Amino acid sequence: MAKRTIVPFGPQHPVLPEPIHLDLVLEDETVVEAIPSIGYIHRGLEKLCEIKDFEQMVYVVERICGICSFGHGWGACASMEGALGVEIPERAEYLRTILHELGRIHSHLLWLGLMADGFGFESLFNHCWRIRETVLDLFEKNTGGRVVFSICKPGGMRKDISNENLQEMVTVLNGLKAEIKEVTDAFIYDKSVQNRMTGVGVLTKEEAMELCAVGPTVRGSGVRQDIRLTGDHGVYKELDFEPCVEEAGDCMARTVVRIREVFQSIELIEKAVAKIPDGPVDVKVPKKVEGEFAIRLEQPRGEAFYYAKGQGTKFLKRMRVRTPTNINIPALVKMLAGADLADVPILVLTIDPCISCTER
Amino acid sequence: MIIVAKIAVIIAALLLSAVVTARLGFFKFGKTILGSLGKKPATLMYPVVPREWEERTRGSVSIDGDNCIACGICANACPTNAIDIDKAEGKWTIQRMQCIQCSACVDGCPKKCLTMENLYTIPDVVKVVDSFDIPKKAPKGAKKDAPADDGDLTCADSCVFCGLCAKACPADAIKVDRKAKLWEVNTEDCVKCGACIDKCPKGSLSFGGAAAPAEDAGDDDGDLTCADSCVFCGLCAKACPADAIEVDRKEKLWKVNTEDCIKCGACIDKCPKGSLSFGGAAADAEPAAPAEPPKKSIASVKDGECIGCNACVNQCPEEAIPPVEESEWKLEEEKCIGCGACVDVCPVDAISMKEV
Repeated sequence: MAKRTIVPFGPQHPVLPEPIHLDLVLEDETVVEAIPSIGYIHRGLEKLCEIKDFEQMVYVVERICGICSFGHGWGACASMEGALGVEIPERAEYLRTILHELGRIHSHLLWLGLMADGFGFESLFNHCWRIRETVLDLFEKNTGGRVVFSICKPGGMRKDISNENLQEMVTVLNGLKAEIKEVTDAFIYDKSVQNRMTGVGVLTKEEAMELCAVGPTVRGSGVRQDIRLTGDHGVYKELDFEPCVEEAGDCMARTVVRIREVFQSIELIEKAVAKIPDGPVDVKVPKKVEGEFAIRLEQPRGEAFYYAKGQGTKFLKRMRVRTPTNINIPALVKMLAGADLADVPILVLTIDPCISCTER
Repeated sequence: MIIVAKIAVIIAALLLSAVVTARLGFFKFGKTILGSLGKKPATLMYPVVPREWEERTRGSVSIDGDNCIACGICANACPTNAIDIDKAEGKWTIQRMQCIQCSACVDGCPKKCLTMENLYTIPDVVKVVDSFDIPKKAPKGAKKDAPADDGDLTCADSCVFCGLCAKACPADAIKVDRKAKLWEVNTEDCVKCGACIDKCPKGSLSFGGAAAPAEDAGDDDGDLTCADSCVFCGLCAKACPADAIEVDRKEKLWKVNTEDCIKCGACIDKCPKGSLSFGGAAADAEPAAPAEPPKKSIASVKDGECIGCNACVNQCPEEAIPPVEESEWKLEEEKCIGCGACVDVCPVDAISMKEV
């Protein structure tokens, strides 16, 4: 047996802005075992939810993560609406679905850029983020914020988005398709990119299911699993939604899933804008929360879980958020075992880790 | 600089085209270069080309101090407690570093004197606190400053264990058990916010004991009774922490379950007609109303005084006031039962009862 070495990886690492720490047990250049540890940026947001008015809490929950912030706002609102027993108007549900999908485009483009940066393709990174900028501009125009939108509230939406603006959103996104294709083709067909990603970090279908992986990580391993299929949230039932699934289970497959989801989200937005009904976007909600409710959302990174419990006052008894990265860490540890040390950054990136979400 | 760079790229492209190779990739390469030469850069050239803001962009909060009525709705709405209002001094302050630009204060402002500007505040090296002048306003009742805030929260003997304090406590520090006649405060959890003191219908709570007012114990005898002036609005039933009151407006029925009643007096405080009292007779100051209340009076608003804060809309037990938009106050007269709850709640005293 070769001599074993332990190499610490993170929480500060050049390719990874997220503060996750891994103890990599190496035999020569091969990782035998990876021991993850988190806990560098715990902020106590769940506790904060208990000492603030539930309507104010939405703004705080949104700030759990800067990338999937719309989903967090939606999840918090939806769980509170469930606890309050409030039904929101259809137009609000449509608007939330549209903005959530727009958020998915922006999140995946950001991830593609980080991935390109991770395997050292600097100009590809620049182009991914250039395209993402257009999506952020759409967000700013329609919600008022580039990454933190503050447009959801318990009972619906704080502001309506006019039909003209929605049409314009579709036009802009359709115009982006050619540019996105040009950039993403580099991921799929470029020889050097293929060398870095094909066959690296294979997670088989059985392993993915056993380790309860979620989101693009599990869909890249050939499992048709997506919370949008359940129709619990949003209007995905009316949009003929079918998740993108890839069979290979390696880094490339997970990348392709995300690339296909970008195009799919543009289509979903187009369909939703064509079907959106007119009407009010919010309803009045009671000032006191009683009862409890849990809801699952499909975030760009996978399944997220929100739970709210009232106590008959305007303060919540408990607010619980479980985020996709948390669930994907076992799958990550599995992928790392047997990988080369040089592939570790790419493998960590491949689950799209968001440690801020995980620790809250 | 850009022109020099572009010329360099053109020369490079020409050189490359001179050495034509058979590789297909070359044509794509050349095409991309030639295409990019004609395009504008993706960046804005920022200081030269100014950034255009979208109408909805949230940058920073600003206030038009002259219109402010120091109602405090913005400070309450702020999730990060960035806003402070000093009514006596006439100061509205915002901690810029704490503000998260959610615009909850702007949405809540009844006078629309707060606005969300597009431009963010200038970056700084210290935590900036901006202060603005607003009209001075004497603090309501002035009682809030009175009790010395030292000492732990204590409850006097006048406590009826209604539990309203426990409900009001944001820190869940108070425990009340009505059956066991138990009142307990966890002094470690208590944040001394005083919310319970405001809520207590008997005025039994205070910080540091002693201060507890004896409270007019005299008229507390006798069961809760309701005078003829009752309009069956049901606000008393809503206020009752023990669910002892039952009101049916259609049947013109008012009933109290004396066994459940804990005599906390919360209903008496809430009654807009002053019809309730312990032991009858006492509080019936209202002129004896006719037996059936056939819309003796309805609410009306003085022209131009409504600020559109919607406080009355929420208060009305009959939902007779539709949400106020652009300060246009309306009343669905047939729904109004003349209880006057809206009059009490109006922050600018714009509503009065008029006879019809």
